[in-house]
Amino acid sequence: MFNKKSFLFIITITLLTLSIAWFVNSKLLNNNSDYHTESKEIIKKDANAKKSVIKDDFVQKDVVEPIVIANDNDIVSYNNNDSLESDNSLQELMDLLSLNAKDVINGQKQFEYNPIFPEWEARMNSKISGLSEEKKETIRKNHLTSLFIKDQLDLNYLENENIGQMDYQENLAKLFKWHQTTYREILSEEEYEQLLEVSVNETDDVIDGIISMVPEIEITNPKTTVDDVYENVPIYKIESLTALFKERELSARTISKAVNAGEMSVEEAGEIWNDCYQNYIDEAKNLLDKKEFELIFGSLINIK
Amino acid sequence: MKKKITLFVCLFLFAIANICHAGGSDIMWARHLDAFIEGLYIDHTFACVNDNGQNSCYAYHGGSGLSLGDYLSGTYGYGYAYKLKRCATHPAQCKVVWGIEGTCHQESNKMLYSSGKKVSQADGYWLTYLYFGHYGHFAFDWKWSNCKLVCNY
Repeated sequence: MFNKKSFLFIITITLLTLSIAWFVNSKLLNNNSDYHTESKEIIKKDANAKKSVIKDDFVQKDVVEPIVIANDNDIVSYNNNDSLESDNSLQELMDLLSLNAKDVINGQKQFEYNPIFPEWEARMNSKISGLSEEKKETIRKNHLTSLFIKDQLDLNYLENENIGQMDYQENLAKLFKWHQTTYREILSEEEYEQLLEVSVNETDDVIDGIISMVPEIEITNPKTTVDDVYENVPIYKIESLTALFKERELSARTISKAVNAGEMSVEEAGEIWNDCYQNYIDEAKNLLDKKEFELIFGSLINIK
Repeated sequence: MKKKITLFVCLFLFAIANICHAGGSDIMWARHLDAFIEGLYIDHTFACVNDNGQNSCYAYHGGSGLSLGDYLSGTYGYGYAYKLKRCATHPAQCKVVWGIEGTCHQESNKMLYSSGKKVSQADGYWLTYLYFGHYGHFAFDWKWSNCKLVCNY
């Protein structure tokens, strides 16, 4: 059908086309690949850097930036009116959680190896040129502070029956807004927008919107709204269900601790979590009648 | 010569088809519903898939809005419908506990995982990323690992 030349031509064209296909696929469609490669490199570098930071006594490091909590004698430092306002928010949260600066500094260390920041750093490097190491360090420390306070807010909400979803939401919003002031102080409005893909002026509204979507009751039936639940389920049952939910989430935290401490494998954690979740469902079935259960949980219940 | 050209075109189309099906064979994407609700601006995202010609959207929350909203830019890709569905029906392992572990952004990303796409163009995405990563909680934790097992990712 084809002579030798034609055959070679076809093979060449095929290989060329497949190479183009591979290139387009890897570079254009999966345009995050470079980003992830960079992240992985930063994760490696970061791990080494962070080890040395801990060795050098993180607490004693001199910090000149505003807002940063880095010294236990110096709870909050103010730079201008904006940061004064934001720092008050942080102080309020710390008071609520009965935390002092030392607790926060120690707490930051728990999140030193979190996988979010290295990728975030890669993003900062790709979006903003010439960001000094000093500024990056300020951002990193405030990120760690923020993660620690968030963790404590979660714990406070889960451990206290009296803390409702509305209080939790309000405090989360306060924390998110405080965290953003770091970027407002350090970056120009243009840089801020490039990095966070939201304008400085709109940030607070977007945060309020995001936080407002956190439902007051955990619902797994996508057709049901929180209002539907309040209309059809007695309040005492909703409160009991919320208590069961909080208990379940506290179990998840216990599992996380065990996994992080190397006392439990990921697979074991999955099995134990399945049992916890099953208990939660069983107790919810005992608490609710069939109609109420269906309304909240729907039929989408596959535990294993 | 005609034969060569025909063959070349066929090979080219085959290669293009390969590009498009790189992540799987089912088209999936995210939709977002941006609106003012009770005075607050929200941008809710959820994952959709075309499974054998049938479009379906999935979310653990806000399902009443699943037929509303618009295509979210940058999320169109090819993945596996059965994986997305598994992810959308295993709350124990895959549901994001909103506020504590993530938001609709992380939940949508989990569902779209087989296509490699993310809802990073949703308003406020990077604000939530700072606390929850792309896939909720801290991306590499045991819950996400187990979710990947359940969804066959």
